[in-house]
Amino acid sequence: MMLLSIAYRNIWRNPVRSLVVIGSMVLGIWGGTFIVGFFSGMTQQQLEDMLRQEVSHVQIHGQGFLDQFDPTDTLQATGALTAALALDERVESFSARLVGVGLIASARLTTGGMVVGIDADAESAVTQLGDRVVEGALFATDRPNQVVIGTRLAERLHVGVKNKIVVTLPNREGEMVSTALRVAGIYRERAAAKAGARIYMPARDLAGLMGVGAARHEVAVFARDLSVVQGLAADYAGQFGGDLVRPWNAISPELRLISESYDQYVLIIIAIILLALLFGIVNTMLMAVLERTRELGVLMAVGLTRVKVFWMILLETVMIGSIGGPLGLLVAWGTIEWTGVNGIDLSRYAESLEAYGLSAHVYPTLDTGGYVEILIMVVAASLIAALFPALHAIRLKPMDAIRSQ
Amino acid sequence: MNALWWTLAWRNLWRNKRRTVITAGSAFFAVFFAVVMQSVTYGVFGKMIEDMARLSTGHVQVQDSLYLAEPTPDHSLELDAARLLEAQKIDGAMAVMPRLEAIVLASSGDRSTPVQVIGIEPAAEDSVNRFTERIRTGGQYFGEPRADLPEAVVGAALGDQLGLSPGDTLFTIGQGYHGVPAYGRFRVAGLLELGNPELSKRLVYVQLADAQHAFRMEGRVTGVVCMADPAADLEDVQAELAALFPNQAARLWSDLMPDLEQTLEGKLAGNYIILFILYLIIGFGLFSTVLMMMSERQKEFGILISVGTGRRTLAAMVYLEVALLGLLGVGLGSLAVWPFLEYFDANPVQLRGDLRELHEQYGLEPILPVMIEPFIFFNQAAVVLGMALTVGLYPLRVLKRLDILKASRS
Repeated sequence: MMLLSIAYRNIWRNPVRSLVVIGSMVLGIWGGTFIVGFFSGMTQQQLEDMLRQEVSHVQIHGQGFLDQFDPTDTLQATGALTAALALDERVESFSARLVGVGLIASARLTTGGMVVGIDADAESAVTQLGDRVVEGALFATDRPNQVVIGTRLAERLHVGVKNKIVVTLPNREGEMVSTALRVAGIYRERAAAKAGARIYMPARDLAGLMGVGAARHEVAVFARDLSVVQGLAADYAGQFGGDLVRPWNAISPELRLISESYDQYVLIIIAIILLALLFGIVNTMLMAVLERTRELGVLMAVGLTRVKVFWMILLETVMIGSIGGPLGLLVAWGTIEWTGVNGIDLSRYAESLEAYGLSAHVYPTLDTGGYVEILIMVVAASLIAALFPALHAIRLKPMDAIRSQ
Repeated sequence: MNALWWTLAWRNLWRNKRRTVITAGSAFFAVFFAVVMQSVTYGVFGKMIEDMARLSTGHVQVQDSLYLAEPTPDHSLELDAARLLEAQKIDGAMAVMPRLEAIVLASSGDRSTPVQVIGIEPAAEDSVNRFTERIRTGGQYFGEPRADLPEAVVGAALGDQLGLSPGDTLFTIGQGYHGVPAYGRFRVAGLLELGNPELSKRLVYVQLADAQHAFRMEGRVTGVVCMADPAADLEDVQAELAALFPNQAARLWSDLMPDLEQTLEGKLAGNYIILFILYLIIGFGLFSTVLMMMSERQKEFGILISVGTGRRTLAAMVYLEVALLGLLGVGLGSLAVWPFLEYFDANPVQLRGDLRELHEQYGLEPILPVMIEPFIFFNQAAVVLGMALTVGLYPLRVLKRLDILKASRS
């Protein structure tokens, strides 16, 4: 108890020094927490974009279709499957697609790509395709043989809305069939999208071209909540005649890569920040002890044991920490909440991010667990930082210390 | 500036060695941390660029000036053997290889799919990418030339998709020079485990002469790919190639893969934010040590002023002290971080867990690389020194307002 009050008084005997230490703790905790929030926001956004626009939560394919893209490898029971999905409470939206791999040609250039047959409304509900159309419209009318292509493909093919392109792909007999399509709209492609060009046409037209009737190759499902996805995938896996059912984490290794490298990266960053913080605290506390060499000598000479001196200095640091820690977290929480709503604009550093479909605004976010983890780490770091000055103090020889300047 | 000031400042530093060591230590670690962080960031980016350049575009590529916008056979260039030889002699060019690329429909049996055919000089490409080591067992990288059919080496995933094994025949249909239809027939020599699944699904390598024949492009190529020495300045290499091929365009990887450049730029922008916060923490650490120093030396300053030292003289001396401290810390920090980075360059940090697996799947080395370039050291040292010089302004303010009587008694 006595130690507590001595330690407390020591802190306020030199308010400037204590405020400096508190300040550096607040800054360190704020900085560390904010960076973690920043990266967690950036990663989450990237994951959400990829899930929404490309991968979806669950994909169901005809067995073997993904190995060879054979038009005959359709889903076993397209009708029963879509009927079940339509009734499923957990499903937010789903889109049944036909997929062909073929050549896409304009008057200027021939290239390869995926030709996807969709129902415009269903597809827009899942991947927001309609919202991403930047020129023209998504199959505006009932006219046949329309197509929607990506911005980058449009650029490469040198075509715009109302121009024609020719698509060549194998039908169910393995013969190559061609058709001319008119560009109805151009959609914005996600920049990091690795897969080549994807063009969309009405499923009805593509079914006619491929000769596959009402069956479909692929169903993309978006669930109401990420937490039900694994259960949803498991439920459908056994049913409907052995179709291949995969949740998002099985579909895209890239998604795994993003979240994995995020974890390792954040760990490195936190380590660097903690080290810098640790060093700052050791500096000021060590100075505080050096400055008080004489006083500590006197205290020891009048009978304060070394153990008590040690605890006194440790207590000082802990008290400072218990002011600085929560304050730093509070400031960090405020910053993350504010920037989480308003966003941080990176467009100044990376000009054309948005033109490539990458968001140049980052919205930091952090859950309660994240705050708690950081608090624990900072408390541990400041305790370690307090050890050096405390150890230095108990090594003093009272006689020498009293005589020192 | 007076020589005496320097002497006094220098002596002051060593009057209280411990304080000097602590304060200079702040600057030391500041430089150390900032340099390590930047070095890892640039190291990771450099490796990404290197991996992509090796497998796809090269560091610099000479193309017809219209090819980038419209990659068709019509926008190819005539290959001049003498010039190619000269290009190979350019300083900093490790390998210079002609290539002919085209997108065609490939089929085998009743299965077809669009692929990218690349006509290459097998030996040169092998020296860059070590293709011979990546051929799936049972096949081979281009064998002895035979009269009947030209050979193709097919990406493993593509081969599986089309059901191909060595010895099978692959047909291609595409567009040749001046719009003539181009048909090709190749015998599959081997399947190539490319690692990167996207490339493995779409690449077919054939010999350059066979590609030229198939596309009716005798003597022509779509690009001359240059792999640069890691130490070389890419822009110099680009300039030399541009001088050698005056009628063509010499393009950097960043023009050929704008997506990659944009992605890296976006990540770099995030990095600036971390760096900014690191600077804030470091700057505050510096400031706090100077603050402590000033409050400790109140008495000394009070006495110095009362015995007749001008406030300006004193201020200049203290500023010199802080500047020297900063310089000392920054200098030593830059020196100390060098061997540290050299060590991690020689013994890179190994990645763990899923990340390691993924790297191996893509045929990449699972390491955390570092980059050791003078500009990283200079930039960080300059920023930290700048912070020290700014923090040094604080004592000036204190000295200007110092109450002599109070200070001498403290």
